[in-house]
Amino acid sequence: MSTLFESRPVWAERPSLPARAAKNTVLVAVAVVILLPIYVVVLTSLSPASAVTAAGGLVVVPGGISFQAYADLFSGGVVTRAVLVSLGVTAVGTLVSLAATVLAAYGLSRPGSLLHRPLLFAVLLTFLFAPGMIPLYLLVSDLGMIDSYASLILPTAVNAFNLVVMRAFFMNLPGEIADSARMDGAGEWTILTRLVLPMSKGVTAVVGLFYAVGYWNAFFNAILYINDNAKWPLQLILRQYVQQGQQLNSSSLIGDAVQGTASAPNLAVQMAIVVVALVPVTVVYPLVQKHFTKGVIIGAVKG
Amino acid sequence: MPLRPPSPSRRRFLGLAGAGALAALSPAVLTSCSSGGGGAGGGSAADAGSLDSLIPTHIPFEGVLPDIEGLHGAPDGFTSYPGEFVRAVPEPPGRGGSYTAMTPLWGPLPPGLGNNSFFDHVNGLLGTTIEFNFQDGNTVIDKMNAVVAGRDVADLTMFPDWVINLMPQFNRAVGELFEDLTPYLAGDAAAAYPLLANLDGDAWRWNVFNGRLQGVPWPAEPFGNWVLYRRDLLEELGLEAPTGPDDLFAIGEEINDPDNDRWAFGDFTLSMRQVFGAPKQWRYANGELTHMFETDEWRAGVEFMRRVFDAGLVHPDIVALGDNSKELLNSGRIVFNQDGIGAWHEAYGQMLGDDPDFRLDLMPVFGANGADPVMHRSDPSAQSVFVRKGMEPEQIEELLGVMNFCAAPFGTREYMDYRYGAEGTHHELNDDGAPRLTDLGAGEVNDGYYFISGRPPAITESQYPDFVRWKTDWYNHAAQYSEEDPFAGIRIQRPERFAGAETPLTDRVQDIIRGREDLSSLDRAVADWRRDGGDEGREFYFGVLQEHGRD
Amino acid sequence: MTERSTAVAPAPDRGPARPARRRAAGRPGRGPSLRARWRRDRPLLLMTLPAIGLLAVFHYVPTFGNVIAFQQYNPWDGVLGSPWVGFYQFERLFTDPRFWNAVGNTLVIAAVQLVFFFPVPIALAILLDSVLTRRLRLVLQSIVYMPHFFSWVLVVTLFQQILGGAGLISQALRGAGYAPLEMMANPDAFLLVVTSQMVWKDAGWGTIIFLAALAAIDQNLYESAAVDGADRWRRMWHITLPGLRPVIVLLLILKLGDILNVGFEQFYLQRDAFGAGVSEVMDTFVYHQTLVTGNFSAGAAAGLVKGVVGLVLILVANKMAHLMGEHGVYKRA
Repeated sequence: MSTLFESRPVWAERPSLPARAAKNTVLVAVAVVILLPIYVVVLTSLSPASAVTAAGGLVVVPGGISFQAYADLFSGGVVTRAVLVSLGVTAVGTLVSLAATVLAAYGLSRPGSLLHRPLLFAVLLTFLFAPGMIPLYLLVSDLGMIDSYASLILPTAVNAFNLVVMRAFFMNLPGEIADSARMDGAGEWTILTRLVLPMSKGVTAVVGLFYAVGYWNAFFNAILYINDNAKWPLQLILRQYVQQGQQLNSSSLIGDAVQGTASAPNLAVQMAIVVVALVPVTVVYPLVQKHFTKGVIIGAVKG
Repeated sequence: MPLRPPSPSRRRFLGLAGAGALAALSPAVLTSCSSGGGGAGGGSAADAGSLDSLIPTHIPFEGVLPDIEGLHGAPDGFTSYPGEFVRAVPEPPGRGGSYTAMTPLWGPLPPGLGNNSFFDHVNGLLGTTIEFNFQDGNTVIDKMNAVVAGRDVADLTMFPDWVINLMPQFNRAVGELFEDLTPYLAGDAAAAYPLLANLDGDAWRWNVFNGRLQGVPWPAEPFGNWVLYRRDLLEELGLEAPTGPDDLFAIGEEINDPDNDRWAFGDFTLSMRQVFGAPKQWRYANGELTHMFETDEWRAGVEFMRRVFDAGLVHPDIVALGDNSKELLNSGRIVFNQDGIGAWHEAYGQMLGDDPDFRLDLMPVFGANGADPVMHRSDPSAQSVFVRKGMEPEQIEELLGVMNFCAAPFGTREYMDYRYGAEGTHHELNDDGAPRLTDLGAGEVNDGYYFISGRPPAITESQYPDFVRWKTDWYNHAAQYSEEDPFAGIRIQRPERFAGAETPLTDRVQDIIRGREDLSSLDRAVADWRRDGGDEGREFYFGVLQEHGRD
Repeated sequence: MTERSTAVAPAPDRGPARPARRRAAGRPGRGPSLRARWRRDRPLLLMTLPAIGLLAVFHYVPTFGNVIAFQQYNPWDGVLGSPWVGFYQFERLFTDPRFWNAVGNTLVIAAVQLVFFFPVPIALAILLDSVLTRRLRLVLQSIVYMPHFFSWVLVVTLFQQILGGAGLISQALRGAGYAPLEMMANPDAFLLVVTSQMVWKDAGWGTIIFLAALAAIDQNLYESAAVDGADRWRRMWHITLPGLRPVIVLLLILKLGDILNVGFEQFYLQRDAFGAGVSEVMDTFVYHQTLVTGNFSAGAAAGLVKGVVGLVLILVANKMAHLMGEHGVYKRA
């Protein structure tokens, strides 16, 4: 018992039995409702053609295990290369985005500063009015950015929602600390890096996650701006696997050659793609969650 | 709480990205007839009859002869692979040039030039280096709109015909972006490219824009979709293939068995239109144009589908428009389903390994109420390949030589090379001479060369039991009921209001066949359609008839 | 106790910038001179420069392309060459009864989202936060946000295979002699189905921002409250919720600004199954209007309408937030 509740603060009373039971029931229910479909997806990705056909769709009851879908995906080296492209774009993009967003969020966190309102309003308007696809393409093309990795980062580098959220967190920090630092002659840069950021690890991690997930999942920029297939990101490569047989009249495709090697059923490949795209996300999340540690503020304020 | 979608790009592109991704599936697109003409709302027309001087003189390729000849414009059938592949192009066409080619790709991306021995093999045979820039097949309309707006086309650019139909002002763009091929291909000039001259004249006419031959066609199979059924299951149940709509309905009621996870049908509304004899778009009789929506035949088709849905014969996933109809048919959860005709051999490729007795067939073509069916033909060319403007004549000739090579039909050495790579390396021939991709081939071979030219459609999948015979039988029977389309061969850009008025009506049809609306609401919906663009369309189309002297 | 805990809600005028704000709070003209403000705020302006620059180039410049809403635009002629048609595109939208049907559906869906979806991540975050075992909390949090990474196609398929007329539950019901479920193509169940899908897909993902906000609440407050005898529920009411309030208000306002964007794919995919009558939203309407006809201008016009409505709603909501003593998105100067 004591180990189970080891992180309960000393001042908190032990929850009553019914309360605990109710809470646990809800949590278990939530977990089951979410895990069941995930189980179906993973199982389908591991199912041989016969099982997928027998199920007439996603597989619920196992009918054999096959890694063919994953083998199909990773044969040929195209996917491996795209993983590297995506990792690079995600890493660089997240850094660029986070830097620009943190700076601007702090720069706009002081009501009454010069141009504060017009600039904030300008940011907010981008949330409401989106540019069209073709003008954006023409701009990127005119800037000579077609087929450059920068075209996958810069057009979407700053997201107004993330900026406004981060700014709100900054504004909710206790003001006394910054005030006293300012009185001690600290500059804005020092206040941001030494005081504000250390107190804002949680929101920084969250916004970083939002950006990273955005870059990782993005494919439409690449569709428009990248002609060189060697520079395609993972998501675009993966999309190609689910398009077989979708051409009109489908008089095309390698279909009339006898399949040389047993190829995985399309649905299994689609689900393998879902799983593959999910893996990095599950790896990254604990790193983000680590920053949700409590008590940081107390230390900063009192310390 | 709906967090902003985390992708910075998603919000911006949601509508358009999604739009493109699904464009290929939009029923309105599938049924849209033809276009490609002039200004917004305006029409232009290329008259099929007067174009003969612009297209190649037909030179039939007689190196490989079919086992079953296609009748009434149906494709030829080959019941086996030839023992010896014929050479159709004696000399490598290339002159050592390097070119880019942009085409959509529906399938996994192959390794690129430099890492792909299939490309090296075919480029070697061509004597020309073609570097492919593949595009995501489902969003090709978005990409092409952007590319055309930015004037950023590749040396060879392939446009699916449905993309051309959806691009405003394509008619004007095509002349400024792409070379006029008339001097190279019109009349006897095409003799220099005999395999291109072997392509169907209607497909060539379809590629005349503004009085110039602009693109190289991809001759299409005459029919796109029809009802496929599980012939093995029906025989197992001791039932014969249906012979009419009522018979189909009766069979449906007999085989429908939800308790045992089997339903009779998927959705086959489009095929029923043809069974009941509605026109694909317009019917011209007694000096008047009647649109499909205004015909009793079309209405009878809708009524029939309503009856089918009401009786609970359609699988619930299909009622809810799930996209798993192929899986349902393959697993026997439904017995009849409408699909692209190509779904037949794809299903065989997937199913026959595990279940050698698995058999599909196309539902026999029959009419209703004693009348003949009206089979709707596809437009004659399914895609076009264009040459970038501003090239030297020698370069254009080199590219036409490449396209001539890639137009080599079934049974030729070249066909095997550009489709399946080198024998022994990318494919091997099995006992009946059909190609079988090796592991290397499965990773590298792709449709790139297949997509930069066209060749006559043919029914060739002789590795599947009975397939070629059954399919040619069906085609030769069905093709005799081909519709007499008053606008056959004329590219027409549908006026915008006319095209836009279709959605509310097709929505209403969905509501009706799914039982959400009464059949009687059809009159109102058709009246609205007339008011909101239908009558405008009729006038416009009548003008086109007059313009072409077909009135 | 009560006094204390209400005071812990981050007060509207707290923030790292407090003195500056105070100085600027007076009427215009009574603050420091422009030159003094420039000297004082130059570092802040420099900091905003990269983000503003990126937005200016990659957002504002191409957004001017939205003037095509007043044209009969085609990509070949471009903005400069396409004919101007004034408010024609807007007139066409506003005189189309199906547009208003789509607007109505969109508003209903948005309202349902606000009431039945918006609070779920907050509750879930509080619940997750209350799990005391660290490892269990991590595992649970990692699970709940996964469905966010499923595409809508997959979510709809999963729902169909489980809740559809031939799905797991229906076949079990049939087997037991009961009537199957009739949800997935039933217009009456539309709101229930799409809201459930939304909750399943995104509620877990939505918790993340609230978990960050929960972590930022001063833990001393809980201790003092507990010492003062406040029980679990009172602490939640007086500390946790006020602590989350600024974030909740902010997200609510942003949601209002986005109210006409209820989603595209989810509705596109299920539009014909449930019928356009209930499921057509603005985005699907515009899609069907424009794609078939290649009319980019109508799409741009609809986008402008959505933006203007969003702007008005944000301004109003922000005003109301101020009246309630919150920051909102931006602040009165």
